Amino acid sequence: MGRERKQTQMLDRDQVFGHLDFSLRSYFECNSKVLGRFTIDLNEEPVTIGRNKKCSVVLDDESISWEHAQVFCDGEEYYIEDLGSTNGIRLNNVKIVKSVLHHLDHVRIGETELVFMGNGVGHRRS
Amino acid sequence: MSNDCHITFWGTRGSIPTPGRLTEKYGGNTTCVVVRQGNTVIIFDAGSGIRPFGGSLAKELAKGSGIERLHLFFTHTHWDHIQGLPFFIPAFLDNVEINIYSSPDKAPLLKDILNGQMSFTYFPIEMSSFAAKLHYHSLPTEPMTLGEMSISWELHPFHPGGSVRYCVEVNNRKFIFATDAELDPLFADGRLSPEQKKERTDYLKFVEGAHVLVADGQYLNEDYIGKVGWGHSSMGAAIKVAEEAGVHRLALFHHEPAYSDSTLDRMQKETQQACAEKKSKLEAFWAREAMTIAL
Ligand SMILES: [Zn+2]
Ligand SMILES: [Zn+2]
Repeated sequence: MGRERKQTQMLDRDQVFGHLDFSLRSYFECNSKVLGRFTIDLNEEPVTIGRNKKCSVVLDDESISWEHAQVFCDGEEYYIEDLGSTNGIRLNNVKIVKSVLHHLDHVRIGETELVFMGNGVGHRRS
Repeated sequence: MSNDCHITFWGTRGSIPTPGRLTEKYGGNTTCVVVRQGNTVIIFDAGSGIRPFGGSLAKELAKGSGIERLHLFFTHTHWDHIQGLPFFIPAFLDNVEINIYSSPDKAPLLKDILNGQMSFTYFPIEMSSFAAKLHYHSLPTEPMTLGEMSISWELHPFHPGGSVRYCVEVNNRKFIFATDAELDPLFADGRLSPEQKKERTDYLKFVEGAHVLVADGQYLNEDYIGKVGWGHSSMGAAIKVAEEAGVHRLALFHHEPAYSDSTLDRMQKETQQACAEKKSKLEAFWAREAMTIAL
């Protein structure tokens, strides 16, 4: 067997910046009894979540209000806010009206569990 | 929605601000809690948490939100409850009015105490440079009404130098702010003096059936043993008393500066599991900075 040299994988500029960009994204990893697993991208905020078709994220789940929650960034930090929903928002199992989000916070909206992946909080690409 | 009463934690840490990576979630700012219904804004204490609150309020004031009249209630004047006032932006605005309340025993001294922390020895700007109109009040014996809120108080006898506990009633709901108190001796099994028995009964009556109780739960039970007489409660005592008084939601507060987010995360998880196992009706959680809950 001849000497096999492992080749360093070369990435082009787009791949490098694409990768960096991904690492700076904030998003929710979601898991719902009704809707399965999915991701909500939070870089284009504000994001409204509800059953109403006008919401930026439509979750067709009866435990969720028409306009349930809003996620926004004030330029530094991400917040989640209840829009007057019937069943409320639980943050790490505490019912809240509004809160700053921290990396790996568990949010519950109806039957959906959302984990905040706060990569790049405060470093949003504008 | 507009008639709802909201409680925001702007500062939750006890004793000294604790900035840094290990405390960013529950927060490093010292005591400041704001209760708000419509345009009525009540501030409890001016620890370093009043600084970010002031920044947020200043933005609202700039938009003409009509909340120029503020009410600031002091529990007591330990540093961690007054140190943020020099950094409270609305105090520098001439269209703002701040009503400042303290217990009758402290009221005659309060102005000097607050001015004192801004004398040139400690701070570059004197309190006389505040442009807001400041009105000092001694807490009245009868409950006072602000907007739709009714506010009453009692002396909190289990803290060195004394403290005050407050009750806000609105929309048939009850909020209690009762920080800086060492409850353990009063609620441990053992003999109590008649005076202690009265203090215990008075406390239970005051917090009874509260929808939200913010209470001192500074120490892990095992750490309290080394801090007896320091004027702060163990988490276990705070939880036990809240259960005994039929409190609905308990926000543990005045977090020990040495405790990291992971410690408080663990305590919250364990406490919620324990409450669920014994089918307790109490919902206990650790107050977290920049978090708003409904009353
Ligand atoms: Zn304190
Ligand atoms: Zn104190």
